[in-house]
Amino acid sequence: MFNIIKMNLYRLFRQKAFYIIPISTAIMCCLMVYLIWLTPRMENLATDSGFQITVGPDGSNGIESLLITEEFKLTEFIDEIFGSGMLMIFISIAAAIITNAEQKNGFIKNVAGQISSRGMLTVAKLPGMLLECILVLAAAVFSCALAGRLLFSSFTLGSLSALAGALAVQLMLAFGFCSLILMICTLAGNAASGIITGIALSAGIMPLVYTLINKVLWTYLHVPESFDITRCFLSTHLMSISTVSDTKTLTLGFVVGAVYLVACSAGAFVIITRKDIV
Amino acid sequence: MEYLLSTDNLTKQYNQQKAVNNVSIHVKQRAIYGLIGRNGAGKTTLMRMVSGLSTPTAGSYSIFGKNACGTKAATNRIGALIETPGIYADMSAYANLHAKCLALGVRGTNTEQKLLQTVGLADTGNKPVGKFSLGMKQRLGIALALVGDPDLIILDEPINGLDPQGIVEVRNTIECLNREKGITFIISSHILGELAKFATNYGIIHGGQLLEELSMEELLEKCSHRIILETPHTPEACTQLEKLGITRYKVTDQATIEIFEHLDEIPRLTKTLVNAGISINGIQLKQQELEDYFLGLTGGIASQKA
Repeated sequence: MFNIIKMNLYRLFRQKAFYIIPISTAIMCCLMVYLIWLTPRMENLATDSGFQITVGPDGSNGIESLLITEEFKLTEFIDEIFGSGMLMIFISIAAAIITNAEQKNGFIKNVAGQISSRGMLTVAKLPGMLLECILVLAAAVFSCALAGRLLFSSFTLGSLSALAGALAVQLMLAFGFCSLILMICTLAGNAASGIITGIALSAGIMPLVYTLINKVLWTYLHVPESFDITRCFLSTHLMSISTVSDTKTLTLGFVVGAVYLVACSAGAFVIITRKDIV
Repeated sequence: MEYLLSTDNLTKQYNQQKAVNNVSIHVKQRAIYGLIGRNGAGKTTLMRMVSGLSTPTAGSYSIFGKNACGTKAATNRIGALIETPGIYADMSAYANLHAKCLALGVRGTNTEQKLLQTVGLADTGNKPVGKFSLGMKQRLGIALALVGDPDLIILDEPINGLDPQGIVEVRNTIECLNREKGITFIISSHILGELAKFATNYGIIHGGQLLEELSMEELLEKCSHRIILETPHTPEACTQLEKLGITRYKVTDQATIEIFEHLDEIPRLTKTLVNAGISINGIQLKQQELEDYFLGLTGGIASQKA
C-alpha cells in the first residue's frame, strides 16, 4: 500500500494539473473578490448610499474622491466562494484527473497484475487527493486575502477560529467528494463522468432531485416530514457550510464527509477488484 | 517441475460469447512461446488472464506448479506488455521506470538505468516518452515488464507497427534476455514469419480454442511438406479426399488443393483420383511456411465445420 502511495505521489508531483488546478482556483477567487469590489461601487454610484462624498473648496463633488466606508472581511469572501460551488468544480476536475491518470495511458496494466491487491490502486490515490484539496482550499484563502488586501481599504480577516472550523469541515467534505468522484470514475473508466458529476452538483441541479426524493419519502413511504434527505448529501453541505455555521451544522457536515469518504473508497476498492483492467 | 506456466481449461466468457474456451497451454522454462491466432482469436484475453489483469470465468493456471489464479504471490513473477505500452508520455523513460519500481517496492542501486541499458534506451536522458519512436516505446514497455526481475514476460504484439529496424531491435532484445537472463517469454504476433525466427514453441489459437501446441522441431517437421494438387475438378476431388479420410485440406483457388495430412500417400491419392475419373494436372510435395501452416490449420478446421 505504502509503495503504491509513493508511486502516486511521485507521478502526481510531475503532473501539470496538480499545479494548474490550485493556480486556477486562486485566479478565480481573485476574480470573485474583484467582482465583489466592483459591485458595491456600482450600486453606490446609483444610490449614493454607503459613500462619503467629499466636497472640494471649489464646490465640486468629484467622483474620484469616493471612499468606501463599509468594512470587508476575508471570512465573507470565503463564504461567498463556498456558496458558489466553484471549489467543487475544481476539486472534481482534480479528483477525476488523479483517478484516471493510470487508466488513460494504460500504465495501470504495468502494475495491476503484480501488486498484492488491485483495490489498493484506488485507495492509494486518497493521500494525493487530500493534498490537492488542501492546496485548493489554501489557494482560495490566500488569494482572497491577497486580493482583499489590495482592493479594499478597509479589509480584515474576520474570525479566524470560525474560518478554521469551516475550512476543516470543508476539507473533510471535499475529501469525501473526491472519494465519490474516485468511485464514479473507477466505475465508468473515464474522467469525464467524474467532471460532469462535479459540474452537475455545483450547478444546483441536485436540489430538484432532493426535493423529489423527499416527496416520495414523505408521501409514499410515510417517512416523517422532519426527515430531510438533503442533509445526507455532500453537495448540500459543501455549498452551505460557512464561517457562520453553528457547531451542530459543522459536526453534521464533518460526519457526512467522513461517511462519504469511507463508503465511496470502499466502493471504489470493490469495483476495481472485480473489474477487469482494460 | 516441468512447466513454468500451464493453464487448465482457462475460459473467459463475456455475456454469451466465450472469448477463450477451455484453453490449456504449457510453457516450459526458458522457452519463447509464440501464441498465434487471428484478430479476435482470444490471444490478448488469454494473456490478460495469465498476467492477472482479468479474472477467468472458469479454469485455472499455475506457475511453477503452484495454482496462481487469484494469488498475487505468483503473478508478481510475471511482467506483461499487453497491446500498447502503458507509459506516461510527459515523463522520461527513467521516471516511468522509477514509478513502477516504487509501486513494486524495487530497491536497487540504479535499477532503472540498468534496465534502460538492457533495452538500449540508456541515452534518452530527460526526453519525454511522448517524443519517442514506436520502437523506443515498445522497448520501454519491455523494460517496464522487466521491473522486479520476473521469470515470465508476456508480450502482446510487440512488433506490431514497427519498421524493419524496430522489429530487429525488439527481436534482439527478446533473444538477449532469453539467452542471458533465462527469461521465459510468451509472445503473440501477426507477423508469423518474424515469430518463426526466434520462437521455440507455438500455440495456435482460433475462435477462443487452442488448436495445437507444438515445438519448433515439431512445427518444422509439419511445415516441411504438403501436397499441392492441381486439378480442374476441385469439388469432385474434395469428395474423394474426404472418402480417403483427409479432412485437413484447403482449396486455395479453382484448380488447386493443398493437402496437409497423409503426405506419404501420394500414389494412393493419385490412383484414387484417377479411378474416380478426375484428371490431375499436377501433384507435388512442397515445403510450407509457418504462415501457410497456420492458415491451413485454421482453414482446415473451418472446412471441417462446414
